[in-house]
Amino acid sequence: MRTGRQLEFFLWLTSLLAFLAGVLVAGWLLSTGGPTGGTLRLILTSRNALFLAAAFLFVLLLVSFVVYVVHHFVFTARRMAEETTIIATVNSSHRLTPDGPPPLRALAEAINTLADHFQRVQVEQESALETAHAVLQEEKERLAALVAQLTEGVLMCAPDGRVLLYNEQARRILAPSPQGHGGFVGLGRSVFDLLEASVLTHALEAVRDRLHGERPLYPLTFVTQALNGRFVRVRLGPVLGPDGEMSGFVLTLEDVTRNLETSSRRDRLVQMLTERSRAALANIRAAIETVEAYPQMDEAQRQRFHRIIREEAERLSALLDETVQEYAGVLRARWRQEAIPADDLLAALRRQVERTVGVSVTVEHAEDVWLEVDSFAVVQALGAYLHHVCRMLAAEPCFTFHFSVERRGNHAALTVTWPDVSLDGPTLSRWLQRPLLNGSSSLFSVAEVAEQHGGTAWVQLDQARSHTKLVILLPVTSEVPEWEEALPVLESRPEYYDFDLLFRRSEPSPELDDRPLTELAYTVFDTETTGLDPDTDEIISLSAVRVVNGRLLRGEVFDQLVDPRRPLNPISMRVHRISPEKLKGQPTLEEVLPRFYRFAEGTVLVAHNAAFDLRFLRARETRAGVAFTNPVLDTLLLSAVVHPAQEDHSLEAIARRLGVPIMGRHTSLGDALITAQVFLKLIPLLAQQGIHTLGEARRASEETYFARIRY
Amino acid sequence: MSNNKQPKQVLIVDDEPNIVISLEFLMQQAGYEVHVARTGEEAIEMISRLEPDLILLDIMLPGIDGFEICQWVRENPEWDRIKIIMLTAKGRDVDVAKGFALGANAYITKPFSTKDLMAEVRRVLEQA
Repeated sequence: MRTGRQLEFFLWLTSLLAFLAGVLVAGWLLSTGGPTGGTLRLILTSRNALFLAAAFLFVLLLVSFVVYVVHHFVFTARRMAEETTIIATVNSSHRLTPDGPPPLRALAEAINTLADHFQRVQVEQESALETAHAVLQEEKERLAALVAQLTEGVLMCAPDGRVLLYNEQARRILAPSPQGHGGFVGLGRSVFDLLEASVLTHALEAVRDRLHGERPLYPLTFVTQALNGRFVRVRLGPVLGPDGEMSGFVLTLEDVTRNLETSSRRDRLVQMLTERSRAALANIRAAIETVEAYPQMDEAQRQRFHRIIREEAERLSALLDETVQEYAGVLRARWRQEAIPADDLLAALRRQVERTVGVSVTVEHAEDVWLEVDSFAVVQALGAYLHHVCRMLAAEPCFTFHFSVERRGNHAALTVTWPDVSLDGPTLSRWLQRPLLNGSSSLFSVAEVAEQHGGTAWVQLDQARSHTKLVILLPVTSEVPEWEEALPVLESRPEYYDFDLLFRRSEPSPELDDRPLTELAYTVFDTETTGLDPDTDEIISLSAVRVVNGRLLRGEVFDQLVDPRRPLNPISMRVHRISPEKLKGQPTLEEVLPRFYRFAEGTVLVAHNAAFDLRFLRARETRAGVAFTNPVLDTLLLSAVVHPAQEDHSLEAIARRLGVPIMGRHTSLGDALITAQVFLKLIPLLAQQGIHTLGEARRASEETYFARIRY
Repeated sequence: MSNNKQPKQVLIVDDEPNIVISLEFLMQQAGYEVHVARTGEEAIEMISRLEPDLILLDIMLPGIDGFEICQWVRENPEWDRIKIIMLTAKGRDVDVAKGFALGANAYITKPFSTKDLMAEVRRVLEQA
């Protein structure tokens, strides 16, 4: 290109010089007459004038020729080059118009032929890509539809516990309780806010053990109390990466709160019935048999036995009536506890004891005994008990706990033996009844856990009186699970999924400020207030939406009216149109803020003119017992960063500028939604200015004019 | 019925008066010296004082339960001669296993045949 232009310039210059030279020579000859003036004038005026004209004409012709060459060769070649570039880059359907001299026309034709070929290849490539993408999308949709239709809740998590996928059922089962217990279900949120961390960690460890064990992968099922208070039966399966290691896990959830209640009620009922009827029958039978065996007994004595028989018969009738009534409400369903090889249970126990008690443990290999137990409960209760025993032994616990399992009929005796007899049996037995604390978790007692399994527990001395033995009888499983049916297969229209979170997994930059804006999770919120003064006015509505991984999650919304406990100002009522009646009976801000705190936990707060809303929140956070330490971004300031020449940075003006549809203004949810969309449009505009990370965005905000005058 | 000059002492530990009446009558007819305790605490006090030959021990008692009493007796080697028969409505196999493990000489589930009970009492008392 540059050489073309130089050539062109050179040609022009040459022809111009030639032309000027011709004119100058002619002019000089005419005016001065030259050194041989007479002769030249003679030439000019006579027949030689014709020669001069011819010379002049020649120069002109030469110039025209040069111009022609420049136009038809150099210019055309340059245009062809540009157009070929267009074909090659942005528009493959563009074609050259054959122009200029025949060699260039031929070249243009050749380039067009090449372009035809190039375009065909490109179109084929694009359609192949599109088809592949459509197939992928369709598979994703089909998968999503399946998961949505499952009656169980499904949660898929990254190894660090972040939720990558969930379905509506999972959201329903794990949603926070009306009292505010439990976390929110949402993409990128942690599963440890939903389920007890120690239980899950225990289960994940067990799964990891199984991955590396020789045994086929069998299902891991357990019943636990979710942090919202509901009892859930959880089935946990690993998601394996190409290296065979866990690259995530899937939980299927079933709400067994009702089952659990009915089942434990039924258990109590059956036990009560058998024990009380045994006692009553014993009394009757003993009385009758005694009367029969001693016919010579005196009348008063005989009357006493008759009274016993009558009383006990009546007691039995009453018991039966009571039972029938009670039983009517009890359902039959009963959840299965986890089937686990005794060896695996012992391994988990050993880990727990070594970790929490710090005492070494020996384990006797158990021959193919499978137990049907809640392994978490057993491990925790027993761990806490042994911990307590060690603490109570004044001496350094320098001994070793020995674990073994031995089958006894329908039960297996899990025995823990230790070489110490300084603690007496009744004391050790009483500890079995007591729920002991192990670290932070409060637990069932060993006796309770044994009872829950239909077993029992006791402490005894061994025959030589040199060792103490703790024995727990636990049920053995009737059927060893088939592992093929067990692996949870993920087929999903997860209504709610974000696999990108998976691909970007587990590299949390140490500093939030260093993380790209596109990868963070945001809580975009807005408030409506009774007025503008944070000291005297109150929040009456607080709403928020979540933005995760560059997506606005319309399904994950916080929207709450708040009772301000003060009369509304008629002027502000015209803005927010919330009537006092609507606010009656709504929770107070002290109740709402802790919930909002949990909703926003671990995210960046975003609001339009955030300073205003934050002043309201901060003025009340202490009373609500929370502290909002989240980083904050303000769309007003970010807009000023992106468009410093613009005057108007109101939410409406920015929305219009960025092409965000304005709907539902002046409801806190409506404004939060608009703010979120505005925010998403601002992120690429910020990137154009070289602002990529949270830290950069915060610094740029601070530096804007608005920041200086407002803060 | 007993051949011994000194009648054997039997302690009945049960909080159900309707069974105590029958048991007391039966044991007296069999020639034993009968004592009755209605709670765990009372039982412990009487065992220490009387050191009976046999304890008919119910498990479900107010306060200290029968298992604990049994264990407490067996902790003391001097009381090895004291025989214990568990007489209880707790009839699950795991309870029976626990009773024997804790040192009961016999475990009888309610309801029981009085004939069997008396045979068991005699058998246990005649054990060395």
